[in-house]
Amino acid sequence: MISILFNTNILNASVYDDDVLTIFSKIIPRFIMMSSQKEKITDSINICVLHDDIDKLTTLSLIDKINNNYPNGIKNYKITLLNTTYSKITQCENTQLLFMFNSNGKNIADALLFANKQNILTMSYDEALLENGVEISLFLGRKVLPYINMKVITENKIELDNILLRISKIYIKRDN
Amino acid sequence: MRNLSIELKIILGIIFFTLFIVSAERYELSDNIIEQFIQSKKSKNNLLLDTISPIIALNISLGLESANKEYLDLIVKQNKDLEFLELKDLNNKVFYSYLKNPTLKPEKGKSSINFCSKRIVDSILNENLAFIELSFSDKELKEVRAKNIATTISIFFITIVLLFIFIFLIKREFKSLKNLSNDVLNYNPKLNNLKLKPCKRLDEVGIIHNAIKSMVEKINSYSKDLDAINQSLESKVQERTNELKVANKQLKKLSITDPLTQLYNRRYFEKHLQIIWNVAMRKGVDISLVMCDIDFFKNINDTYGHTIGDVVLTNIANIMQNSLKRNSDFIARYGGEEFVIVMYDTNIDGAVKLCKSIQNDIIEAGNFESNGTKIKTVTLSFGISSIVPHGQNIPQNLIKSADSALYKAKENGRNCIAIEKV
Repeated sequence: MISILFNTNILNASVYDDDVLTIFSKIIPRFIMMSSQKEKITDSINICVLHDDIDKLTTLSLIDKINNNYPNGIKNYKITLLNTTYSKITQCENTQLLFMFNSNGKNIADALLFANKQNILTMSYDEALLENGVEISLFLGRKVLPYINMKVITENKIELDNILLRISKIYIKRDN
Repeated sequence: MRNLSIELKIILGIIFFTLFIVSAERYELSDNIIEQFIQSKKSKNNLLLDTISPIIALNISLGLESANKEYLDLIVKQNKDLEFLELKDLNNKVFYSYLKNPTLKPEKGKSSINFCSKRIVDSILNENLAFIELSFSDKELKEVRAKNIATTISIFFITIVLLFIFIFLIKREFKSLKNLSNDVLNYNPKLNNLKLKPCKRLDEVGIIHNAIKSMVEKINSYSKDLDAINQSLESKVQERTNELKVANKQLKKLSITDPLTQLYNRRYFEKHLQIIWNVAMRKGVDISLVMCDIDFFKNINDTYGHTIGDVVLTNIANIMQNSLKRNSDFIARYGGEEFVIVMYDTNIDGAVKLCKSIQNDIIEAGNFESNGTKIKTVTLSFGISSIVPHGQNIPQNLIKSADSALYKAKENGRNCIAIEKV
């Protein structure tokens, strides 16, 4: 097994855990299949990974993991993975899910605005981005759970499978 | 079976029928209850498996094994009756294992109602991910069975109590019939010892009671009638018996009596002579035999007719009869106008004396008269013979001698007494 990669973004001080990335690589396509995003699939499952330049390798690693986990796609749907930087977010049009690595607040906000307009499901590595309006992340506590921002998902009229909701933790935004 | 009483047959029949029905019903019901419970238990187990398997599948497919462990811990905690739970991958590597009592391994297989298993399948990829097995405590099933047995025992107890009450009632009903039966068995129509009061019951017992009462009354009535008829019959029989006795007596008298003179006839004379002969021979005393004949009796018949002849015979017989002084003296009509007298313990002298006495009586009687017709004086000739019976002598010898003496008297001119020795 590949040793844990520590990609350090000096500016944002971001650290990506390989095990967490592995989990993400498993859940990303399934969240599409277990949500209303499934209805948007035509030929392939389209996933866009947004990152800063500094996270390029991590992004490639994640894409690798996804391809390894689903070499034949899911249910006869092939998986098309697109990675791009926040500045070229428009390339993520016609995707069903937008995975976001850490970035500055503006990039995050722009990406979320784009995603909401395009009705694209958003998922972030960092659970802290749920507060910004990202819909799905991972809760890394005593156990690892999908972390769902139910309020935003509901606002964006995205539906999730009940089973998915049962195993997930619901994010509640703190009012302060 | 024929020797069993109806009461016993009814009681046995109802006991067997009731126990059969209750047993069959209980067996069927118990079977249904247990089956329903098992189905319910299996359904519950399967429901649990159906509920947890998608979550486990999703957790596995998402790589969230730690979430699975926590989730299964929660499941174990929530299901107190869960005794065994094991989650294994396709290579039999155990992801999660729980065994409540390590000393008791769960019984696996389809036959065990508490054991169930399921493949964990990825709902999206349709791939087998793992295999889960779980087993529940059979405590509830044991409790249901125990409760069912307790219910069965209660029902049987109640049934038996009710049967006893029923048997008591049946026996009480039959007691009336038994008492009635005993009364009827002890009933004696002569004593009229069965006094039944009318029964007001309308059931079979009342009907039988009143029927027997009516029958007894009829028997009493017929018995009285029969007694009266019997009594009448007995008196009639007695009357007829008396009449028969009289008739027999008359017949006997007729058989030994001469109808005209009312003296004994010749046949009886011979019989009597033999008896007297035997007695005299035993005692060694004399027997005297007198044979007498009315002199010229043919002339009387020829002169006056047979009717007058009969009158003469009758009168002579009466005189002779009256002349006998002793009870032992015997007189009979020997035939025609001949008479014979047998005198026990009397020698020749005694016999002569009697003959003379008779001659005197006839003289004293004077002329006989019948319907105004006067009949001239009648005389008698007597032949006497006497003997002490012994040895070779027989009564006929005595008769023969007396007859010979009579012949002599006739020869001697009649109206005389002749004697001839045997």
